[in-house]
Amino acid sequence: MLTPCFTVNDMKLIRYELLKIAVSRGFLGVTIALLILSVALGYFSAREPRYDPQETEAIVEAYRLHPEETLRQYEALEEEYKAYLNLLLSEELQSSVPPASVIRFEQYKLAFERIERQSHYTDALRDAIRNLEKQSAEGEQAAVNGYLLRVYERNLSLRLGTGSMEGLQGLYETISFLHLPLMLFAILSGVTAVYSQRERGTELLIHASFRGRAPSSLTKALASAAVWGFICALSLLLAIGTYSVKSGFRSFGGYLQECADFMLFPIPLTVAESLLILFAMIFVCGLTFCGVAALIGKYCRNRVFPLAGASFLLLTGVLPQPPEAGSLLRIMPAASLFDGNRLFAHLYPVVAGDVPLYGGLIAFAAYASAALLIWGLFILFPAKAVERKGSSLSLPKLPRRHTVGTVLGYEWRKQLFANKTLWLLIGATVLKVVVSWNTFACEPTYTDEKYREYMLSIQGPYTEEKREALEEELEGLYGLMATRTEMENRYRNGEISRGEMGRYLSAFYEAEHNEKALLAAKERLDELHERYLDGQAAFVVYDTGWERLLSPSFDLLLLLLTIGACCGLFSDEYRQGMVSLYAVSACRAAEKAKLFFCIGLAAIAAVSFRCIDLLILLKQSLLPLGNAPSCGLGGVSFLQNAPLWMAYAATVLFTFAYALGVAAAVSLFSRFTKNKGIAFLLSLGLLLPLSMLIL
Amino acid sequence: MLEIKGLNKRYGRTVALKDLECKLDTGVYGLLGPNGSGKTTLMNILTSNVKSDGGAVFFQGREIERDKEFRRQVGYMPQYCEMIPGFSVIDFLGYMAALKGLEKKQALLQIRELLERFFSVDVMDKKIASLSGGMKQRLMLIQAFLGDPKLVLLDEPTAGLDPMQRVAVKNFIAEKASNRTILIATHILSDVEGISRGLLCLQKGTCIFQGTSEEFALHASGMVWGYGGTRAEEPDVSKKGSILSARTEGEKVDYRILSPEKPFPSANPLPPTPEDAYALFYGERYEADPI
Repeated sequence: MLTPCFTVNDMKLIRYELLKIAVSRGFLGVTIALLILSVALGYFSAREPRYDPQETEAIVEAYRLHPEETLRQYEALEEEYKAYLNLLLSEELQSSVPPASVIRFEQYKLAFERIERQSHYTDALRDAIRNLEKQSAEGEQAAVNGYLLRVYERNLSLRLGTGSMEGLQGLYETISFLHLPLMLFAILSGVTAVYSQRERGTELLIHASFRGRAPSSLTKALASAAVWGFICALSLLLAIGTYSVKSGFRSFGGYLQECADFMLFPIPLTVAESLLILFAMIFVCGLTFCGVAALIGKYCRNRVFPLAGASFLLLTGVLPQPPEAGSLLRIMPAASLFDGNRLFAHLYPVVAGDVPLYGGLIAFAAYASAALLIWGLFILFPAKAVERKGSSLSLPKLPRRHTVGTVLGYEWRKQLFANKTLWLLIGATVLKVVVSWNTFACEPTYTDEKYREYMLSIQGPYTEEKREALEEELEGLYGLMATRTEMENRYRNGEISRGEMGRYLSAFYEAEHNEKALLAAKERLDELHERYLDGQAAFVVYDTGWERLLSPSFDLLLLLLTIGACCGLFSDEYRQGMVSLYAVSACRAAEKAKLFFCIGLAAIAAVSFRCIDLLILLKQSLLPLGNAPSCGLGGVSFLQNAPLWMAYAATVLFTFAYALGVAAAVSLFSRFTKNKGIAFLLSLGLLLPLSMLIL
Repeated sequence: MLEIKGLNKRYGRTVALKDLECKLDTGVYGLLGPNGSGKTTLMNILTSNVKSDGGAVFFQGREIERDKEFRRQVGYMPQYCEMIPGFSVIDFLGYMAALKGLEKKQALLQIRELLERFFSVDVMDKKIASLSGGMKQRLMLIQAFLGDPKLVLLDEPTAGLDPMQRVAVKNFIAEKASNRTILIATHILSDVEGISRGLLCLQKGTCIFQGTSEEFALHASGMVWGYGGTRAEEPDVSKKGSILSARTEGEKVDYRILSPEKPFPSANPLPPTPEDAYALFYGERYEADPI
C-alpha cells in the first residue's frame, strides 16, 4: 500500500485526466449514444396528455371560487356525454371524431377526480390530526405523535391543488428506465479509465514517473466522478425535459405532499427537490459501479473481466440498481427497496429488516460508503504496471496435430476463443437459465393450481357441453358465495355454531379462488366458442405454459449477447491492424466468413434461449399436448391451425430472424465506427428502444 | 515487373504522391524517404488499401486495378499489425494461408518451411500475445511470403530486431528475391545494402532518385570529408558542413563531414557511401550500426 502523500500540485493532474477523457473519441461516442437514449426514453415513455393541464387547473380553481355553478356545468356535460355514448353503442354516429363537449367533459371529470382525491386527503389529514391530539392528551407516544402532528399540520397548511401531479408517475418511470443504461455507462467509464491507458502503453510511463502512482489514481478517481456526475445530470435533464415537453407535465414546483404516499415526509418537498434526491442516489450508485469496474480493471490485463464482472454484479442484482424513484422517498424498510435482493438484505444487516422511517436515506448512505471504500482501494493500492505475458487463464495443453483450416473455421475460432465470445455466450446462457427459472418456475398460486387442474380435465376438442358444464359449476359457486350474508346473520343469531361457520368460511374462500380459476377458464372457452362458431379449429389445452412460450416478448439478454458478440467484428480488425492484410489477401472471403459467423451466432443464441424456456416449462409440466392446434395461443397468427410444436418452431425462427437482424445492424456499426465501444453503445442506444417498441 | 506510371494521391490539401513513375524488375529494391514522403501511401496503393487519384500501376503487363488475380500475387508486411493476439502462431499462419487460397497440404508445408528459418518447433503452439516484439516481427515477415507471391511489400521489416536477427532477415530476403520483386520501405540503409538491386527515393510524393546504391552514393562524390579534431571543435565543424558521424578515440574525434567545399585545410576527401547521399538528399544525420 502506498502512503497517500498528495500535494496541491498533484491536483493539476485532474486537468489532464479530464482532457484524456474529453479527447477520447470512444468515450464521446458512448456519451452521445447515452444522451440519444435518454431523449428516446423520455419521448417514448410520455403519453400524450388526454387533457390540457392548464384547463384542468382552471376548472379546479373555478370550483374553489364557485362550487355550485361548476358542479352544474359538470352535470350538464355528463348528460351530453351519456347521449354521445348511446349513439356510439348503437353505431349511429356520423363522425368518428368526438364532439368538443365530450372532450370538455373528460377534462371536467379529471378535475373533479382530483378535487375528490384532495378532499379525501384533507379529510384524512384532519381525522389523523384529531386522533393524534386525542392520543397526546391521553399521554400516549408523545414523541412520535409530536413528530407526526407537525408533519400533518404542515401538509394541511400547504395549498393543495396548486399543481397537477398527472404525469408524475410517468416521469418517475422514465427515470427508472434510465437506471440500467446509466449504470452500464458508469461501468464502461470505469473500465475505460484504466484500460485505455494500459492499451496506449502510457501506464508504464506514469508508474515510472516521480509523482506517478497514487496521485494519478486519485486524480483519475476525481475526474471519473466529475465526468460521471456531469453526464448523469445531463442525461437525466434530457430525459426529464423531453418527457415534460411531450407529456405536458410542468409541475416541478408542486409539492409531493399532494400524493398520499408522501404524507409522512418531514419536510415539504417539491417535485424538483425530489428529482435532486433521485439524482444524488443515481450518482452514488453509478459511482460505486464505476469504482468496481475500475478496481477490477486495475488488476486485469484486459477489459472483458472488469466489464463482465461489474455487469454481472449489476444484472444479477448482487449490487442492486438504484431503487424505484417513487419508493425512495417513502417510509419503508431499506431492504424492501431492493425487492428480491436477498443478498443485499443479508450483507447489509444494518439496513435490512424493519428500519423505521426513510430506508432510502440509509440505502443512500450504504451506497455512498461503498463508493468511498471502493475508490479508496483503487487509489491506495496500485496495480503492477508490468503486464504478464500470456493468457491469465491457462488451460492444460494437449498435444495438437497441426492442421490448416478454412477461413470460416478460423473466423469462428477467432471470435469464440481469441475474442472470448465463447465466455460471453456461456455467461449469457447461464444468466438466461437463472432469469427464465425465476420467471417461469415461480410457485404457482392456489388459483393457478385450480386453473391447471380444471383445464387438464377438459383438454381436447372444444364442445358446447364443456362450456355449459363450466357455466353450471360457476353458477354453483355464485350460489354458495351469495349466502355469506345470510350465514353471518345466522351465526350472529346463534343458529349455527362457530365450527360450522368456520367450515362455511373455508368453503367460501375456496369458492372465491375457484371462481377466479373458473372465470379464467371461461374466458378461454369463450374465445374458443367464437372460433367454433366461425368454423375454425377449436381445441382446449392447458395454455399457461404455451402462452408464456409462444408470446413474442422482448429479450434483453439476447439483445445484449448479440450486440456484445458482434460489436468487435470489424472494429477489432481495424484495431489490430489486420484490415491492411485482408485488403491484400482475400477481403471478400473474410467478410463472407463474418456474415456466416453472424448467422451461426444468431442461430445458436435463438435456439439455445428458446430451448431453455422450453426445457424449464417442460420440467414444470406446463406444456401438455404439443400436437394440439395452437388456436389463438400467442405465437404466429398465420399458424393458428398448426400444432403447438410448429408454432413453437415458428417463434424460434422469429427469434433467429430478430437476432440476425440485430447482428447485421451491429456489424454495420462496427464496420463504420471502427471502434468496439462506440459500436456497442450505438447499437444499444438505437436497438434497445426499437426492440422494446416492436416487441 | 512492376511499373508505376503517373501515380497521384491527395489527402485533402496534402499531396501524398505526385506523378510518381518508376520501373522495378525482379530483385530487392529499397524504398527510402523521411516521414511524409509517400512511402506508406505507395504501399497502400499497391496493396489496394487505398485508391489512387490518377495514374496506373502495372504488374507483369496488367493493370492491377483490373486484374483480379493481382492480389493473389502480393505479399505484404505492414509496419504495424497486432495480428490476432489470441491465436497461436500456427493458427495465424494457417489463417493467412487460408485467406490467400492455399491448399491445406501446400499451406502446411510452406508454413513449416518458413517457420524453421526463424523459430524453433515449439513456437508453433505459442500464443501471439506471448511472443516478444522481435518474434512478432519475424512472424509478420513469414506470412508475407506465404503463397509464393511474386510481389512482396515489406514496411520496416527489421524494426525491433537485434543485429544478428537483422542479418538473418536480410539473408532470407536476398534468397527469396531471385524470382520476385521485393520492395522494402526502410530508414536503415544497411538493411538493403548489399542485397538491393536498386533504390527508390521519395520526397514529398515524388521520386527524386531511382538507381543502384553505387549511383546513389555518387551523388555525394567530392562532398564527403574526413577531419581529425577534438570535441571542443564540434561547433566550428558544424558551421563548415553537416557532421555525418563523429567517432571518438580518447581525446581525438574523427569527423565525417558533408560539405561541397573542403571544410578545413587538413580535411581529406573520402569515398561517398549511400548513407552520405541519404544525408545529402534528406538533410538528416543518420546513425551508423552499433558495433
